[in-house]
Amino acid sequence: MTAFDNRVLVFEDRDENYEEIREPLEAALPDDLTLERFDHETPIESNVVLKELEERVKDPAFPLLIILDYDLTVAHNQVRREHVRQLCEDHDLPLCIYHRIDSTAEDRLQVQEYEEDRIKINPSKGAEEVARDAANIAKGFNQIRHSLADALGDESRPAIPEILDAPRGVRGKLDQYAWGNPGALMGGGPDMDRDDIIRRSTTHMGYWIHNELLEFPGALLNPVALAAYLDVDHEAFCETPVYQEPFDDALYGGPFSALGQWWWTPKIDEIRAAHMTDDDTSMPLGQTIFERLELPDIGQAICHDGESEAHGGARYYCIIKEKPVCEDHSKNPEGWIPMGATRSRVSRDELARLEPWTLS
Amino acid sequence: MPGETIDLDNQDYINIQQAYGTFWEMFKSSQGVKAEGTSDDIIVSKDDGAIRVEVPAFLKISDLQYRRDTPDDLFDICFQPELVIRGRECDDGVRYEIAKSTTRVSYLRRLGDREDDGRFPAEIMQGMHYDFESDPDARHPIFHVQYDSAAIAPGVLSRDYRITNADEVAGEHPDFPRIPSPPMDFVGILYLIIKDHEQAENATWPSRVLDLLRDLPVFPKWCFDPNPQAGSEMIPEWWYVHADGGSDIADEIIDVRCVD
Repeated sequence: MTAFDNRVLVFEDRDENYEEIREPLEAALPDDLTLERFDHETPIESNVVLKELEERVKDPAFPLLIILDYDLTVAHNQVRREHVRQLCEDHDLPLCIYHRIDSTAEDRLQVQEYEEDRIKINPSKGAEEVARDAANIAKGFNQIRHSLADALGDESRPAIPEILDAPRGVRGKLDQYAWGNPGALMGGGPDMDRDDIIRRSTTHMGYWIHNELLEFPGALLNPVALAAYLDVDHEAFCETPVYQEPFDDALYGGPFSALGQWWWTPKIDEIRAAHMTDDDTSMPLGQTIFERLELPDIGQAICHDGESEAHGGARYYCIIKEKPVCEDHSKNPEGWIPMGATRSRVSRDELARLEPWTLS
Repeated sequence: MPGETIDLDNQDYINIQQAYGTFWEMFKSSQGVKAEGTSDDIIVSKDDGAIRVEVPAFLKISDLQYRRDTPDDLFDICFQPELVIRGRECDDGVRYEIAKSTTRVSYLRRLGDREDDGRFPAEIMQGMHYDFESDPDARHPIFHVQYDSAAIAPGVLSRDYRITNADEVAGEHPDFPRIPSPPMDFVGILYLIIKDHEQAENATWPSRVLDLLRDLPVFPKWCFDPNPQAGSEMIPEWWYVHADGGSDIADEIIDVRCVD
């Protein structure tokens, strides 16, 4: 028995939808992973769905990743998404959910709703992008399980920084992101064997990296958050690769890194510090650092809080708007943002809309 | 003989910035007490060959019990470290030495729950600042503490608190006595708080921050010439040897805090 086998198992009840993602998904998966579609034709008796589902999914180990179509309503057997979710929860299996390409607005809202124990693929993407993201998610879990298997039992090697290849300067923040995930990241109960521990830790660490570390800027910065941190115009920065190149040494290369771009904040600071002059008292920002990096002129980061006039100094990232905001026109409301996500905030106008009582 | 003083460069700047930032973030996430403020609140700047480390706002340890038998009677400790770090040549390259340190501390008793404006009503109960200057006035103890209720200005504390006795503490206070004290920098004040307020009998540095202490600047050894401490760093942990129940301070603390 092993923690996982090498299958990526897809629950998609519509042949035409499966055909749309099959080819690009197979092409994007690495050679050591295989694609399999769950058999929705063979009937299952309604009173034993979960038990039967478990038996069919195990072969004899569990798959590395389950990819689930949000809407399984035309499946000929009794298997519905609730069963698949339950199976994943019961056995700590990584779950990735996508929507049918013709998903409704209501479906999209459902996907946007934050859930920490699964990975959702943005439904606005087409079949090829969904397939590419799903393959990258599978690669991420694959990377985590191999690293964990190497690190388990060796206490001299702290697994989380090693899996992420994290710089030393970010250890404190990583610890704080891990708060609220008791035991799940590297944990196992006394009755769990090594495979169970690897499976459980792989799954929860994958969710934690994807849904917290990459989602909420702090230890890592996405392109908009990096532009804000550097105090430059995020649109110009995101659209112009030449602006990003000098920061390549700070790029995150850990699990799920192929899903986007993220940079380690302490490594960005190292690049900024390396470009301080003798006259500087602090690390250069904005146009100054871009000039020293011999980059074309760029504008200043502008605050996107709708209640205030457009102004500069927007060095934080609003997690709702996904745009820069300044400290004065944003808040870090209790319970919304993981500890350690020090560059994440919520603009005052979004808070006024969503939780007006938190504003004074 | 101490090595020559050397100007610190950009790499030293980032080393010191990340050392204090990581130490504080790790301390926050490892203590039983509630610590607030982020590494972004710690401002590091270059200052004529030295590095200045300061917290213009404040960091704090909150929700401490005023008395053990009154769990709802809470107080917070706010502190504002300020350091000037110089470089000194040593066998390993450069040693980061504290040339100047002022640690302002305010003890606030909370008088109620958070109010509509997000602040707590509170009164300042106690305040002091701890000083160290490598070249002090001849009459001053090299390490000393001065009581000062407005050590952190009430205007600064007003970010989180509605101070009810601001007028009382704002008056003129004497700058004496300068009471000789242990070295109390950013690190020292946290050790004091652990010892004063953590419930465990053998409270000490959490293991996850212990090795990070190695990266932090230290007080110059020559501060403690002549005897009895000549040649050894004066670290605040020495003051607690008896409390740890042994004749010596824990080896692992000496290992990371006292550099040969």
